[in-house]
Amino acid sequence: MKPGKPDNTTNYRGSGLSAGAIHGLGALVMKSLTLLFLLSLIPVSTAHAQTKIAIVKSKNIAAYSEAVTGFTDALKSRNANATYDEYLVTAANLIGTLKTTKPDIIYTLGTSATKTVSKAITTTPIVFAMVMDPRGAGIQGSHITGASLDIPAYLLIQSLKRTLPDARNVGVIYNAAENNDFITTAIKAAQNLGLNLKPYAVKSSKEIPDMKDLDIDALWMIPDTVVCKTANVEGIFLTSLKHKIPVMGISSSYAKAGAIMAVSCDYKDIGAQAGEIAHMIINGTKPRSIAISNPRKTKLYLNLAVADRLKIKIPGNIVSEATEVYGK
Amino acid sequence: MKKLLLLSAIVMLAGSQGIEDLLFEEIPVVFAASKFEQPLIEAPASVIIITAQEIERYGYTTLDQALEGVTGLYVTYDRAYKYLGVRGYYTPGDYNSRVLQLVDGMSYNEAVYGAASIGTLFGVDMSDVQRIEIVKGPGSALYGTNALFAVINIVTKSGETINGARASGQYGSYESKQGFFGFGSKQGDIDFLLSGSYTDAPGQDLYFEEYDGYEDEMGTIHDGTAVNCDALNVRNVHAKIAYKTLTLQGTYNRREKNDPTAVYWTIFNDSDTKNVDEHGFVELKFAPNIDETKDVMARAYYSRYDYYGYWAYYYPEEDYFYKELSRDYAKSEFYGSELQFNYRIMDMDRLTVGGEFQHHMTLQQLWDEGLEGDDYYYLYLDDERIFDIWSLYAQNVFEIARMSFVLGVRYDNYHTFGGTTNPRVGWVYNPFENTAIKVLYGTAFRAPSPYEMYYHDGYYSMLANEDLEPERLTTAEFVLEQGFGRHLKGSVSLYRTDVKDLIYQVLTEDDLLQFQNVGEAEAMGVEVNLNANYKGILARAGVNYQESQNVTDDTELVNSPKYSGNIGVSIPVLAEKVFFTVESRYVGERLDVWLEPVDPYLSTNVILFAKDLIPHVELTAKVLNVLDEEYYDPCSSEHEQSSIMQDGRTFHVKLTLKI
Repeated sequence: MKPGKPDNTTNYRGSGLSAGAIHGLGALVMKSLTLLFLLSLIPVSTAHAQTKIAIVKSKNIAAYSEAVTGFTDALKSRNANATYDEYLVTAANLIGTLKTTKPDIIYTLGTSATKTVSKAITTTPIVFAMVMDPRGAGIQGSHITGASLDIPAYLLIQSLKRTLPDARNVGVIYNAAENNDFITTAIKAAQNLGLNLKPYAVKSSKEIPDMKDLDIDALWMIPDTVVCKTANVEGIFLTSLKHKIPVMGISSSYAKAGAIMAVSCDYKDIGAQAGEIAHMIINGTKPRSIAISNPRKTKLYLNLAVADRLKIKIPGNIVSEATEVYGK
Repeated sequence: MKKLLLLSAIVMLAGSQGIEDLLFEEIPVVFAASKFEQPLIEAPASVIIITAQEIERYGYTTLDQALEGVTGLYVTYDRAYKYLGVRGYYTPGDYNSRVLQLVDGMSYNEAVYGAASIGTLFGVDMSDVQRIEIVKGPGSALYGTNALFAVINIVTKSGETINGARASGQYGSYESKQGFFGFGSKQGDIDFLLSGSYTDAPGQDLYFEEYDGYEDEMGTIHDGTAVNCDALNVRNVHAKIAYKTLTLQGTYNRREKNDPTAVYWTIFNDSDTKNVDEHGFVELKFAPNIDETKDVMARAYYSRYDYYGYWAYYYPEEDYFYKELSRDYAKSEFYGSELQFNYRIMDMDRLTVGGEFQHHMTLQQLWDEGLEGDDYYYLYLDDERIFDIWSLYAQNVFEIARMSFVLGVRYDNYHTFGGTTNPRVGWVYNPFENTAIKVLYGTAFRAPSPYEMYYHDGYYSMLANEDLEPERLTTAEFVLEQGFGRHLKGSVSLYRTDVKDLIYQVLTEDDLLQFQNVGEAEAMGVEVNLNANYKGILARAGVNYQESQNVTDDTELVNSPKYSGNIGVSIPVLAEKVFFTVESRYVGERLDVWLEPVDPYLSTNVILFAKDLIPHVELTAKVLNVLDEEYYDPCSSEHEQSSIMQDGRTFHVKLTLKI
């Protein structure tokens, strides 16, 4: 219908407006109402449209399962309407599947999965979790962000200080090629906490010094591919017992095996952090605008049998704070 | 943050794994080699570990299936029991008495035959096994008798590891069925586990050429087929409860197996001939740490084994034959205790000293049980033996620089033949991080079992021999272990074994079977192993070449393959939820008891294992001997056959629900 052409079938009497004017106004109102209706739909669709999320794990282990649960719980509690497809990074034709199914977000767990996916997929937002030192591992890009496993050195040393208040000189054995910058940060953190951190750099297992020669009150172990070899760890624990030098390990299995204490991440909460990041992306925030987060919750593991043998009394409030206490 | 380039290099070196993997690692340890746990590369022995993961993915449901995949080991089956050969040694008539079997460090061999239980006689279901440690070579310096050719330690899972309930059902060829139920958990300081299984298999109708056309005493002419004579029925219970350093553990196994081979010239094609074995043990162990350098282990245990043999014969009357059951009964009952003390002197010396005492009672009976009334009852054998064994042992491991020296000695005192002292010397050198050179020397002994010394059947077919002396063995071994990166490990082992006073079942001039010390035997060989573990792929391969001979008469040993080998690959095919596994084993030509060659064989198994495709559900589907290879195992002189045909292709499906 062309504008201005009289409508022969409708007679608008006594309105003072011509039929064409009336028609133009109605069309405008209808258009406006339609636009308003469509506009009103936008927030509704944001809240209720389904988001397809692909979950890619580096391997099948309990810690990753906890991080998946934390992730999905976080989105559910924020009323995100999401569907999840779970894959292992070793799955046949993983990248092809991801390109075909076109998920809105890819949630990766572990360095292996994150690197594999981020190399091949460069547009879909990737939220990672359970990755240690992501930048150092070469994980970067404007479409990538996530929750790392990097507990700040300050928090770890603080935990050691609270659990072992008599320790002043704390040793740490590390591979300089791998952990030099971390140790530099840690030395400053220890100074701020009134501790003397004594670093011992090694290049291979055979250079690991005997703890009795180190003149230290405690040994702090950090994730290090040279030092944390199984044979080395056993030797460190045995020396710890012999020379009564407590060791702080890197995971619960260390505390179970012979370290007096260990601090590790709450893997479910790491997943929840990643879930919160994913929720921000669903709501329109660009991944490059979201900083990689550090763990906000840690778990403390104690071994009281080791403490007894070392004749160390761990403060009662620390024991009650511990997530798990071995050797009770 | 850490330096990008350097760290990237490290990440590349570590493959595609992340440093965070260090957080999830467990430290593997071995117990059997030294009676205390230590890293494999430092163990003063040639050690193979079969993990729970391999048990799952290779679909092993019995211990013999797992052991067959180990280089240098081979299993022989005469359709009554399974027998384990080690590096060319398996003497016919031996019930695995030359291998020491441990369950969490406790001896599982019974005492009347000295038998290790490697097949369905073993009372622990494979799903309860955390790992199997196989230490080839003599172990008497630590463990005493039976530890002649190998020590096999089965480490069971804790309740905490299982953490829930499991139920499974298995169905296979020839209507074999197995049900399993178990649960385990840790509540506070109490860790507990309970499981049980039931197996029922009617078996196969089997053809034996030796009985084709055979006319028995009743005038029946057989076509060589034994029908309904191969049935198997097994019940297992395993329980464990631990409170801190105190552990109470027990197992019970009852196994009933028909014998289709007409062993001991019983009636052919008669389902009344069968073996029933019942075996149980209970152990209370207390292993506290005294302080940082000392710990102690004390345990008390009780073991009982009962054997019931049913042998169907035709006996002649004046003008007719009647059927009668010849009955065997054997009992081994013993209790004992052990006290062991470990002391780490400074940081370089570990001393283990201990003592053990055992009180034994064995009973062997043989009688005819008249099917036509009590008048026919006749007792041939009623032999009861009560004896004590006491032992003292010590071992010292001295470490300096990258070397360790091992010196061990054990004294065992038997009332039957007096005392025996067995030393062990070892040198382990780790010149590089992933390299170990091991030079090992040891002696071992095996006391003749009451069965070998005192059993007879009224001198119809078997004679006793109270003059038997213990066998004595000496082994020297050189082992080179080398890791190649994190994913590949290899080892080469050169060994020589000499046995004196080898106990062997022979036919006397009167055509009677008797165990005798037949003289000396020796074996020399080389063994090569490769193991890889990369991105969820498990692969292994191994070959063993050995030459053995009876030095006394310069003949080759019976059932002693010169060549044997195995290869296995397990690949994740679907998101580490579905695994495809292929394993093959080759056993070279062997001699039977008549010194005739038995053909070599190559048997291949294919296994598909799926877990968590459906939450809480696992599925194992396997085809054993998938190429349907026809092969035979040599058997002992108590058979008309010189070798027994083994199973062709069989199918098995197992469904497990885990909650």
